[in-house]
Amino acid sequence: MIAGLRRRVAVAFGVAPGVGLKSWLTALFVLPTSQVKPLPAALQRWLMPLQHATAIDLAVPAPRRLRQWFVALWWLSPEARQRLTPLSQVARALLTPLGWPLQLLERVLNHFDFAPLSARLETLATGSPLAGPLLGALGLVIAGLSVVLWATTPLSDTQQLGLFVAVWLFSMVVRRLPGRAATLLLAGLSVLATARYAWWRINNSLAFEGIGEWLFGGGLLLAEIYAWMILLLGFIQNAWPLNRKPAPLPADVSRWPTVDIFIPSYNEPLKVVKPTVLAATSLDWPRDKLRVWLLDDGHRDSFRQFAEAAGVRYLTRPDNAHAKAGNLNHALQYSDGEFIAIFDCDHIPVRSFLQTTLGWLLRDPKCALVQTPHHFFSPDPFERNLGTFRSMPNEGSLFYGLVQDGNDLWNAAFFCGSCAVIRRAPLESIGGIAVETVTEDAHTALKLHRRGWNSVYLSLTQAAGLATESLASHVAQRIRWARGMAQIFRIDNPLVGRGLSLFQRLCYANAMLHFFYGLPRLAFLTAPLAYLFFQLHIIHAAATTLAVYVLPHLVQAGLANSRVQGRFRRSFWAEAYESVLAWYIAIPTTLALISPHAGAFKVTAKGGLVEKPYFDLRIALPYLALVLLNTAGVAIAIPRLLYWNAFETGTVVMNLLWALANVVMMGTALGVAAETRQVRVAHRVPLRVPASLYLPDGRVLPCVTRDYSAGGIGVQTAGREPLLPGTHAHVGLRRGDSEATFPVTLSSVRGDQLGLQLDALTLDQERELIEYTFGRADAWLDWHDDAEDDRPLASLREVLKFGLSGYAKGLRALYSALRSRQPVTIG
Amino acid sequence: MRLIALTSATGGAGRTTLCALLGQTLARAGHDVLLLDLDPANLLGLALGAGGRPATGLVSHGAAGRWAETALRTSDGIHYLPFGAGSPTAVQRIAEQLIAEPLWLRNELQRIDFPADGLVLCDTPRQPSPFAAAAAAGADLQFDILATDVYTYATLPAGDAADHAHRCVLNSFDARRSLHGDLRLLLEERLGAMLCPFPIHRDEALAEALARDRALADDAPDSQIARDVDALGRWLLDVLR
Repeated sequence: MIAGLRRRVAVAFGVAPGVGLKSWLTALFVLPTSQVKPLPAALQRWLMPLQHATAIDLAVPAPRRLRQWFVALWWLSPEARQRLTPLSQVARALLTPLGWPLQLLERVLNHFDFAPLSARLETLATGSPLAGPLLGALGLVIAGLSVVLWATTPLSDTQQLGLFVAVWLFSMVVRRLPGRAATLLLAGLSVLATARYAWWRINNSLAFEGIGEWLFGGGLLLAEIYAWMILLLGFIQNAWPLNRKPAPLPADVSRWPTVDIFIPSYNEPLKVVKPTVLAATSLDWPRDKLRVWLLDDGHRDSFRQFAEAAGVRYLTRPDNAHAKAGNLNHALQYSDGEFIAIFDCDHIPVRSFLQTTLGWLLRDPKCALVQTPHHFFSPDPFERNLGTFRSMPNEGSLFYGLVQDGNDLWNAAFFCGSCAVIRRAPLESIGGIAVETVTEDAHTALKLHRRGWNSVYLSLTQAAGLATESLASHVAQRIRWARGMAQIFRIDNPLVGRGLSLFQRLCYANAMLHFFYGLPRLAFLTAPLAYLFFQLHIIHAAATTLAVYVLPHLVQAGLANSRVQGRFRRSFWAEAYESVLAWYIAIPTTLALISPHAGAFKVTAKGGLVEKPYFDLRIALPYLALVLLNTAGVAIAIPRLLYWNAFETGTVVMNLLWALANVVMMGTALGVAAETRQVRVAHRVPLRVPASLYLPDGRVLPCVTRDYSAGGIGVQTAGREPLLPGTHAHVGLRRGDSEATFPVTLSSVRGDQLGLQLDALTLDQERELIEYTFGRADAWLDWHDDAEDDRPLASLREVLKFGLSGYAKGLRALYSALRSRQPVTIG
Repeated sequence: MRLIALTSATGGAGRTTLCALLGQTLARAGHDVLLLDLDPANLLGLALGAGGRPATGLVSHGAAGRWAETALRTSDGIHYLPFGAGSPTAVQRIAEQLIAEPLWLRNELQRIDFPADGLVLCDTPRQPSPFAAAAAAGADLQFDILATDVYTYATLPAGDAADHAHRCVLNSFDARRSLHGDLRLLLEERLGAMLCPFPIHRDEALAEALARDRALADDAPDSQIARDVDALGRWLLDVLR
């Protein structure tokens, strides 16, 4: 019977019997040719020329095929772009008046020289009598009282709007002043705007009817409270980064201490671990005071042999209890150096690492920890899939560029598991690396701080490694961090317990609370749906009133954050990053709060390769769900706006805009989930130093290196010598005035650009190669030189662009995955 | 006039070739250059591409003080004073003159009409030799050319970095040979700032240019040795300053 039914449906749909799902799906949208009825003649007369003209304008090669139209809408061909130029000029001319007041203001401000004013403000701030503890406390109380007064004074909507415009204009002037005093002022203005909004929101906008409004409205309120708190804590943490310089070592080398270098490994391949170990043995430090330990939890003979050949110590243990933390603690028992430097097995240190970091440990006997940034020379999934590698600060820039420096001011910089040096005695006094949570690093630092030890953060890149290879592994890593931080928050809460200063508590609390963004972000991503789907009024206020309170909060917070952290994270990117990770972070953090020891620990996979583009459907499912929900919300909003809820247009428009913003944000997430193919396993690192190419006929060509990777070197010659691919040669690299040569084969010759593939190297040559490439003291110095100040509106445009192109990319990837019938997901 | 004496304690270190190459690069950089061949082997002309060994020169006219008459001028605008072909007695006469009066050479040079900031590069025979000793005695800078081999290490100059009038450079360096790298490290340790911070690479382009009878800077401007010599010229000027 079912077969009969199916046949009849197939005939009705015009689907040939026995075809696959795809034809059925197609049939849902496309009529079979046999059933296509011609349009009424009158309509056709109108439509055909229109379709024809549009097809020419957009340069659609085959106007009868739907796919061509779709393609043309997303990728304008150059000729179509040229045709559309007059059109876009008209659009721009119409849109410009909207931005015109802002441009006028900026132009007026351009006429003033703000330097003297800024200097006066700076002296006022730094030389202020409020610097003393007593007056400082008094000042804090007065400031607190005035914030309360400011926040609670009732104003009419118009007055509130006037206040906002005045504060905003003032901020636009303050923005022009360089220096930290102006930064503090902007943060202060943001706190005031938020305080007013929060007071109004709690007192005047909460009136829930029914369980639905309670649920959605309460959820949204909690999410907002979380956001206000993070905003305030963020200012405290980041407004005044310490930017410490390295302390010099004693001139007498005999006073330099002994150091153990721990390199723990679990399942990483030897070729990933090798460079790190070799670089560790080449650190600039007295040979008799440097011991390198390869800590192998994988119990691999190949690792033991390599360690022996490389002259480093090898340790393994009967069980793998407590993963990395246990591995490090095991090594603590066998070693006795005064200090311990820890590197993840894929973080290659530069030769100056110890000389840069040990200075502070020797200068301050109470200093137990020096942390340096984690730097990645390969793009993370965001950078690779969005194509933003090195053109924009990445997800980690904020933490290592600003947050840790901000923590350092309050003596709250914490251990990040790698690229750090720890003093042995205090570490042993707290029982070694903490094993209670899956983020042993931060917890260890917390324990040290509780015992009165100091920490130091040096924002100098002294090691570099591979970023996570795929979105899936990136997500897995972030889940682990979030879970661990939630665990610490639960079992060893920094807000309570002994030994911490107030600001250390706040910094740690912010570091942990930061990872609870999952649920709040999901609340923001679904909040407009409560109204659009169910007509729930989760904010009990007229849309205009809400606007005059919430916009100052959003705008001032945006301006302040752009100033505080814009160089390390562009405006609106936090929202984009959070939208990608929120779903995955939400559950583990919540679970860890309820039951800190539930769940398992997974090691992040590294060194893999995305061999062909694919759409990670499994990761993207929550994004697709959020996209569909918000798109449905947008669709419903239209009849609501026109018919059903025409009496409250403001509310509909607000929720509509909100849902649209969510749709765009989720577009970025889809774009990240569409994995771009990675071309090489070995990532290329730019390097420009003089080099020499030793040809087999005895000639030596001077050249300049362009980049290097684990497997080869790219150089540029003066370009007059005809060279053949396949030639065996040597390349001489320089470091300072010294030179080392390596056997290579010319793998590619493109004009003056040569690709040199490294031949088989002896272990000593490999070590030397690391010294001349990844281990160079100057290897990563200029990596962040191109950091520019944030431009909030430009950044908004960029996020919008990535959001929209995310759909194009995501849909294309989905389409090709479905068509090729390849498995859509990869582990 | 500033006098640089190119000397070395071993044979075949490359004094003559480097003397010619340095003269060419300095002349191309716009300096007035006089190359003085104080080696009875009389080979500097070949290195300059003269095609033969001039018969007249220091040995025939020097004692009489008629230097300018025998000086030649190359197409690069370099002034070149050959040693000339002389009988063993004539050579010995000059040698005795130099032993008796070590500053004779410098005094004679100062009588020539040559710009005050001009550079005189003096090629000498292997030390010890009265010619090399006289050149070194009168020089503003004694410049030792060190071949990258074991003999060099055994015959290292006894000066130290405080001696502002004495510098060395490592020649015919091949970075592929580990012995060369080791020697370089040893020399850097022993000589410190006396040693030019970069070596002159061994490069076939030099031999090819000589065989084609063309100046290196014309024949292989993009060779490593051409770059090295240019850098060496700049370094020498820096030292003299």
